Amino acid sequence: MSNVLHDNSDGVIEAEVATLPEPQRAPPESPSLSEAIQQPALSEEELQKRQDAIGERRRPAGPPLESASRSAVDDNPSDVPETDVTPADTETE
Amino acid sequence: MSNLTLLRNIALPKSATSGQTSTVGEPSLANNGAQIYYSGNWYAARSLDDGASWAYVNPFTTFPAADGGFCCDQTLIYDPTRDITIWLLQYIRQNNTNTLRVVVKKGTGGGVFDFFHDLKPGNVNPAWAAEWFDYNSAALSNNFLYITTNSFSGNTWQRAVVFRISLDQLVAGGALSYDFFSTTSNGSLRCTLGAGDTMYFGSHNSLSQLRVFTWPESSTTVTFNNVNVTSWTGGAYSAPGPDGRNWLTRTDGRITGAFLANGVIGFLWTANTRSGRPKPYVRAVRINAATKALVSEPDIWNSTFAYAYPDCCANVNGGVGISLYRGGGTIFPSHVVGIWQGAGWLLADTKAGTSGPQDGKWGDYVTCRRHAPDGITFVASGVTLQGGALQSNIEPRYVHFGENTVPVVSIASAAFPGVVLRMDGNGVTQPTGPGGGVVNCQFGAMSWEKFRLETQADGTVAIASVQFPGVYLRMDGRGVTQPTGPGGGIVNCQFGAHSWEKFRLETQADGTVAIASVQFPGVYLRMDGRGVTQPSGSGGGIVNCQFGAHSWEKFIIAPV
Repeated sequence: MSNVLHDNSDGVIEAEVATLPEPQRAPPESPSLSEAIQQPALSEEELQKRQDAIGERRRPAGPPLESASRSAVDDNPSDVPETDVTPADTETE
Repeated sequence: MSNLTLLRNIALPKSATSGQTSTVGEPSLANNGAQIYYSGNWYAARSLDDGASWAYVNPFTTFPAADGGFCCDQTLIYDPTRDITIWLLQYIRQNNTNTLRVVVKKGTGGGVFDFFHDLKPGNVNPAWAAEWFDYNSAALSNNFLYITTNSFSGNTWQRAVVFRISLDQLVAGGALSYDFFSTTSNGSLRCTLGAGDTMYFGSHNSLSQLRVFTWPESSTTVTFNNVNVTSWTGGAYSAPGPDGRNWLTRTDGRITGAFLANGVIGFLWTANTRSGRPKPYVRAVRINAATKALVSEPDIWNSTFAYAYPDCCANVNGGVGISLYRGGGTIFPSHVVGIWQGAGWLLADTKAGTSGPQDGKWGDYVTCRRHAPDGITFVASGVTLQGGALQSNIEPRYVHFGENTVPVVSIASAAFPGVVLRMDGNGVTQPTGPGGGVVNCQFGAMSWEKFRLETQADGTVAIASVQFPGVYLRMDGRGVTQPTGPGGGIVNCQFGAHSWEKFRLETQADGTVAIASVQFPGVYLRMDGRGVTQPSGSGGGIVNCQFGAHSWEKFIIAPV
């Protein structure tokens, strides 16, 4: 198929192998652990700080992508009908 | 009529999140029967009763500290073959590196977790010691868990990594030998959900080409194919809602959903506007797994609002479920689920938002998983803002949904040709002692005369209205102990199917069907269709009960 390009020089990559030691196990459930699990973690102020620290943009998704020409995009022949939502049968709310 | 059913669609209470919600919600989930693990950016919760009640689980203190402490980016997935829930947590960068924690919970009940492993960049490869992992996802094949992540030096992207971990080794709880694949050419690798003996994963090569990687379970060799797709655009996304807030400020074009279903690989991501797509939309491509030929590109788009942040998965039958958001124009950011129907997507809102995020921050992902144990329906996570634009107004949702395979039927009188059962379920929105609504007759089957006969766990049948979701035929047969001319009792509507809403369909010698109450032995549905000779807005005739099945208690149940 014309849309499938096989690059034989780069098309095969060997995975590497590594190990992890024994896992860390959960301690027996104790009242103090249960209590700690259920304590709120962050104050309202800390929550806001975390939210503020989240960038306006995500960190890069990867290397920059080569742009398609605007004309290539706008001349895009592929099309499918608009998608709207429809009511679903709802068994519980 | 819809072929999409929301089996459960519930909001998590504040107590489940301890108020630790955020508009960058990143909700994930995994279910194992009635046990549901649910996570957000900064909280986790567990239900042991299919979402009826939730216990908050503090991800900051449940596990021993690592690096600068718990950060975010939690992901959950359940493996039914080994009966383990897998939970990924990301820790805050400290001394230029961090930890990606892989937590294992065996079975159901008991403690929150059993054990965990830590993946640290420098331990994976000493050359990565000054890097840190971010943006994680998880997927399964028959015998392996796959974890994808990006690796950064500072805020500079360095590589993308796929870890492959034996599920047998993982569940055994000992030391692990694992494979990993890394690339500096492609970012944000996404593995397909629904994989069997071969995992496929993908990434963009450009704005018009994907790279599809193939990793057989039996091999340590990864091969790839480049697949040309229709050009798309990235850049700064915008889809302000009614309050003018743009909820797509953080959106980019990374692949956020991938599936393998019936030999077709699917990749989905959020694309920006172009000619013919006036709002950001979800780009979807379907690729033949064997030949890597492009099969179709069923984008999800609308001219008046945006679709964004899709995640999807395949079920055991090759069906595909999807979880995503829509918003913009007259619509606040809202959560949507859907299914692939062979020629297009069927979508439904789970909850409409009432606001956009105050600071424009939304995302970065939602989750769609195969339901366990049925393997056919789906579970999805998503958030909306309810009653305000702040983090505290975020309401996470648990949604269990699937394709409705129960056929739609009409219930026609055998004695009165053309007369069918009519159900007006207006106002019937919760169970009440006396029931409500109106059940009578109509001439010809229109939308209020359509039903689904839902088989219950005990083998009985509940008669559900198609027009009024959740509303069922109710029969009160008290006092109906012998045949009478006018019949007796009460037939009306109830919300939900309880004991008085259960019936047995008894086939008669002439091929018609009598509808017998389970609660009231010997009592049958009776229909008096006299005078019902043409359609009328309020219906007519009488539907009530009779003792025994005679001519007016016989029906023809036929698909419509």
